[in-house]
Amino acid sequence: MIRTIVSDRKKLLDLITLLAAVIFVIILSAAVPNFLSLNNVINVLEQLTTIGMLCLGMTFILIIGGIDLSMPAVLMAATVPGAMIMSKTGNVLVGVVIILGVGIIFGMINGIAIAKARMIPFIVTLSTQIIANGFAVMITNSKSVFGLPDVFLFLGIKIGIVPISIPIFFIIAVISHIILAKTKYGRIFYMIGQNENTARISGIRTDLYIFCTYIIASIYACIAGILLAARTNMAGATMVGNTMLTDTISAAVIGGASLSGGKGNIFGSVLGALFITVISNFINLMGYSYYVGLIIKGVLIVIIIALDRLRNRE
Amino acid sequence: MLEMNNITKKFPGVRALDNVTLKAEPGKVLALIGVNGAGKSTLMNILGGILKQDEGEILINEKKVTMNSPKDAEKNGIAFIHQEPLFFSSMSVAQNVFIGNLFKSNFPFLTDNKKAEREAKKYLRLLGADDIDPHSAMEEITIGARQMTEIARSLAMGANIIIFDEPTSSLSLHEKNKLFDVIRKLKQEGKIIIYISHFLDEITELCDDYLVLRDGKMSGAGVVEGLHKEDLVTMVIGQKPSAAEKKAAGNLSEETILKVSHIVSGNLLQDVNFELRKGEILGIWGLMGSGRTELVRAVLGLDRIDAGEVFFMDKDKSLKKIKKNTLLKKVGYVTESRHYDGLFLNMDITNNCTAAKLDNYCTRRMKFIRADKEVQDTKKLIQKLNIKVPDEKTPASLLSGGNQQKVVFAKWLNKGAPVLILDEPTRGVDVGSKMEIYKIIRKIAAEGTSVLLISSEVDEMVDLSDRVIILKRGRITESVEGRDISNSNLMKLALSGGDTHE
Repeated sequence: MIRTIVSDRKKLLDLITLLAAVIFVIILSAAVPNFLSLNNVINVLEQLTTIGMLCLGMTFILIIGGIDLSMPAVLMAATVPGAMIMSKTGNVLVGVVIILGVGIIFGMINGIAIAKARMIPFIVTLSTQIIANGFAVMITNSKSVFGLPDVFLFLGIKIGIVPISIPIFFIIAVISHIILAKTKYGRIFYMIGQNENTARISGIRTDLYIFCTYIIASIYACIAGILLAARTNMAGATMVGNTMLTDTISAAVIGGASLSGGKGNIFGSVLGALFITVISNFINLMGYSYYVGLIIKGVLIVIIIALDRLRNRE
Repeated sequence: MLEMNNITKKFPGVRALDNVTLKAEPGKVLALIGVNGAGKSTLMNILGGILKQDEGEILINEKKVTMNSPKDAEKNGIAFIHQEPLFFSSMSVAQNVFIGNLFKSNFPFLTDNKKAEREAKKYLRLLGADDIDPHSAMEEITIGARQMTEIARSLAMGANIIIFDEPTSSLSLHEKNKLFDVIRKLKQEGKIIIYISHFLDEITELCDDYLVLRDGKMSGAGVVEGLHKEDLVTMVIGQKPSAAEKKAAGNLSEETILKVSHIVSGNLLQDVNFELRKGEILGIWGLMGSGRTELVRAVLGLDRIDAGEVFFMDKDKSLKKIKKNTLLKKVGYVTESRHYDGLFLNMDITNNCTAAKLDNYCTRRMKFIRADKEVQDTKKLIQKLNIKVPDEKTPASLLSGGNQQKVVFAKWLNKGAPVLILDEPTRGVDVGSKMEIYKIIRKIAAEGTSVLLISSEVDEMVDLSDRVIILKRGRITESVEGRDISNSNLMKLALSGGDTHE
């Protein structure tokens, strides 16, 4: 009895959410002439790859019950030295190895502090965020790096009208989905997020898995950085926007991840990232000032999360 | 003079208290004795205004009083000293003593901490606890000092009736002696004192009168002086300590599968040694606070230990020393609290049942989970353990306590571990499921699984165990087998002599 009422209410709210999304798109396309044009759609999808990649990594982190505030900063701190080497020597392989290497080092710092020293993820990653930011600005002297080698810029080219970064992102998303939904490792991530104590008693090396998750998140940040640098042919302190971190977390939470762990999925996170990107795009096209844009974005995020919580309440 | 006359309290289905009368006189210590569930807490909760009696009356100095809330109890001068002192850890001793009525400062909204410290010092001196600095924070002082602070608080509140609820369970011997001195001092000042304890030695040492409860009824009351300990045990458990009712010892394998040697962990565990044989059910018996759970957690490597080694029988039948943290991979552990670390409440039963044996459900190379096999095995387990669920996709949180516990068992049966450690395996479980769980435990033991059993229920110990080791204040004091595992003998062994080794 109670269950049917709950599921009826859930269906109703699902319907409302869907309806709201449709109305939202209609309003957008009515208000913004170019919104549904092929060019703009591709533009949105290309922008999606950055927030999307970060959001995939954040999804892993949120599922195990952690949080990683350092992801955008690590993106920058890892990409910048790699880009510097590339623009100086033209050696793409060394550049990419440096990017991944620096990213993994930051991931390991987070992982060791959280999994082994049992420090609070919020505090740890807040600190690494500051360190990574400082590191990036220090080595560049606040100047951006340009002139990346052509082989590297291949990652930023378009095949026909489709930028190559879009299929790369979606392939990585599908792989992430398979890992989380279909493999033993995914199951263990969810188990740790649901109840770390039970997972430990069940014989799982929870510390090892938590450690690895922070490294995974950093690698995703590196990939996001590589794609972004290839697209814009530059790397520097300006490649990470002020709102990138909140955008990433909001996207994952809109997609169903919970800050208390154990919940979330890749499909939802991609949709969440898409939603956030569309809002940014809308604000851009409408020509609102940056600050008005922030207000609109914030309000929409609160509304969508409130709707979602309403839907999942029992 | 405090009188609780003909108190009766019914809970749905049980008479928690049946016509109990308690009389406590000023300047005397009354011992309140009984096993867990005998009704001590119910009686004290009625006195504290937390519960209301169905029948009977409470008189203080021949005046009838009604207790509708803890506030009423406080007004009538009743104070409780709890087993685990309650306090605000980052506030000072003085602030804790005067919590609830802190002194106002001359500035509005501020409190006068200097005055509180001066006043607190007076009360502490009264208790002979001068060494406690009223300025230090509660979290910085010892458990014994916290208890003193709690007593000082009750004096500051103007309490005349002070109830001590198993106050010595976490104290060192030195702190215990100090506490007894304080209680004697309070006694001289004409306070009414009720002292709840499991330890019969403490009662003969400290108390003047006694009241024994068993199954909600009074099974004895009188003066402690001249009382034999044996008689007291009889009153507590309801039968003569010599009565033997245990089956003969079964034929056990001589093979040792788990060997624990010289485990030391702070004050909690002091040089614990035991061996678990193949296919036996070994009970660890001791009172609450004797270190039972701490012992298994130490053996499993879940908590740090100061010294000690654990050996486990390998595949080649020889005992090998276990490296830190790896025993959990080999054994099963039904924990004390299934919600805290036994279940994934928001995951379905299938995921719970396969959690400890995931490798069994994966493809070899890519580690893809084979959901069909999971469901298949879970269905079998549901049937085998008679778990009552709509289907195998139901979240564990929707099940009753008994069925949840069966899911925990299902997880470990599915793992097929050669050793199963059970900590309170039937806590919060209905009688029907309890019997079924007993059957499961006996069956797996008969099939060769070794079981390490911890339980607070003496009947459970007697029913299941092949051998019982007695744990007391972090030491194993005795090991009993066969006919010696009896209800009364276990009670006697646990109750007598709190610190025989000190």
